[in-house]
Amino acid sequence: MTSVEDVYPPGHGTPEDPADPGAPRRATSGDDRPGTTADPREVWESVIDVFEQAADEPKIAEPIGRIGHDVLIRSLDVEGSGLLLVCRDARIEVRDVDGASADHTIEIALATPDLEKLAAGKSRTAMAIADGRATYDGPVRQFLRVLPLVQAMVNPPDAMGTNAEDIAQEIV
Amino acid sequence: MSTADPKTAALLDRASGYDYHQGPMTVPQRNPGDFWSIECIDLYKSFGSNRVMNGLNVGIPEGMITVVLGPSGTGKSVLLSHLIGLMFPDKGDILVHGESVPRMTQSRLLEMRRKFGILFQDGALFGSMNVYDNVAFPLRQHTDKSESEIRDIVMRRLDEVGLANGAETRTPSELSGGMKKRAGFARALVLEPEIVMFDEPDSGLDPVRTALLCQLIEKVHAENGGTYIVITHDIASAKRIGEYIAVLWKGRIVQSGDRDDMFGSPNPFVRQFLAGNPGGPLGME
Repeated sequence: MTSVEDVYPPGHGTPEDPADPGAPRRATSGDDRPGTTADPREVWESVIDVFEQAADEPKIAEPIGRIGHDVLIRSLDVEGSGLLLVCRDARIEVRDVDGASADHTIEIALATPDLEKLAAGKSRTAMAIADGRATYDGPVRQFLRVLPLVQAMVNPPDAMGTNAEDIAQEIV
Repeated sequence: MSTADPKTAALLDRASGYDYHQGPMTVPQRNPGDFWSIECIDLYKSFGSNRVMNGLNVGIPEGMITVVLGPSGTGKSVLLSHLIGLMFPDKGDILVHGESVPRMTQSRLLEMRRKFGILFQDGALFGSMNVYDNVAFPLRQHTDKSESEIRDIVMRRLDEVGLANGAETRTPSELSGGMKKRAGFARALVLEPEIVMFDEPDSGLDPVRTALLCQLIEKVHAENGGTYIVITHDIASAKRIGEYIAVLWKGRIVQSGDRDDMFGSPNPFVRQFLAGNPGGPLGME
């Protein structure tokens, strides 16, 4: 039989109450994953910049804005940090808020190394949650579904320049 | 239910003996559907005496490109059929967004399948229809959109896959293998599925066409988000597009995790397979 230790190895987040399947999972910033030397405050500011940029880009803001949730993103390393993304009516409104008290329907809290990846467009946030490095609350899956759009904005995939020419020349 | 032959059983036991085999990725989460798009829990499936799935556990994370990688004949396509309820396990459960597929009523199952877009190995295009009509088919079948709305959607999707340059009037027999895949991809996307599955997208393509198709998959995922599941045995494709990789062998997930972790795995089974090394625990059996 699988024990709690099997599911959540030492060093990873564990549910507050293993007997309660609905209990929120708590992550710790002192995770055993490779860390970062970056200043948590600077990383946090760069995350805010990324989402402000996304909000100004209609191609990205529209699909994210359709999820109809207020998403609160917090840094586990910056006290009081809170970035509220009001995703409604096919647009995103970005608000810098007190993370401890802001109303929200979805919450994700990440440690600085994962926030750094988020700001660089290299975050695998679902993995951070699965590994117990992130806290979440609410229907987070809906936000994770559209998060790749923000990530691709920061870190676009390889250019497709050769594809059109390639197709035109394909031999039938 | 049949049991695996002694040699296979011994190898599976050895593969399972590594601590990292049962890491947090292969264990169902506490709140079904919270952030796993799909969860497979202890799946068993046999065809006669041939056991194809042998206690398979895997979670497919939301919003990422997951590659299910494994040698030929190891149950990859059977797994895919289980995810959409075309086959049902002898034992175990499959949760799609937290909902049990084997327990769904027929009508719920049909509804659930609309979450999926699938690119089949050969594109599975209707030979009697041109590319445009093939891509428009799901919209005409499953929506009440007008022809002008359908045209907008179809042309946008064809443009996305690079087939809006006159190729829409061709029939499948006039298309190359790569173009058939692109047309199949466009058709898989028209209903805006939350989960897109690719069954061996590289089959029948040369390495350059495969790389271009992978590039296209990455690009379309970046523009649309969602969960993508790519089933393949092509390691280069897995390395290129897989953000999360699950290695399937003998009907069980030997190891799954982040791409970088997987390609640095100390597990000899995973290491041998990902390196394409003939020497190691994996043999021809």
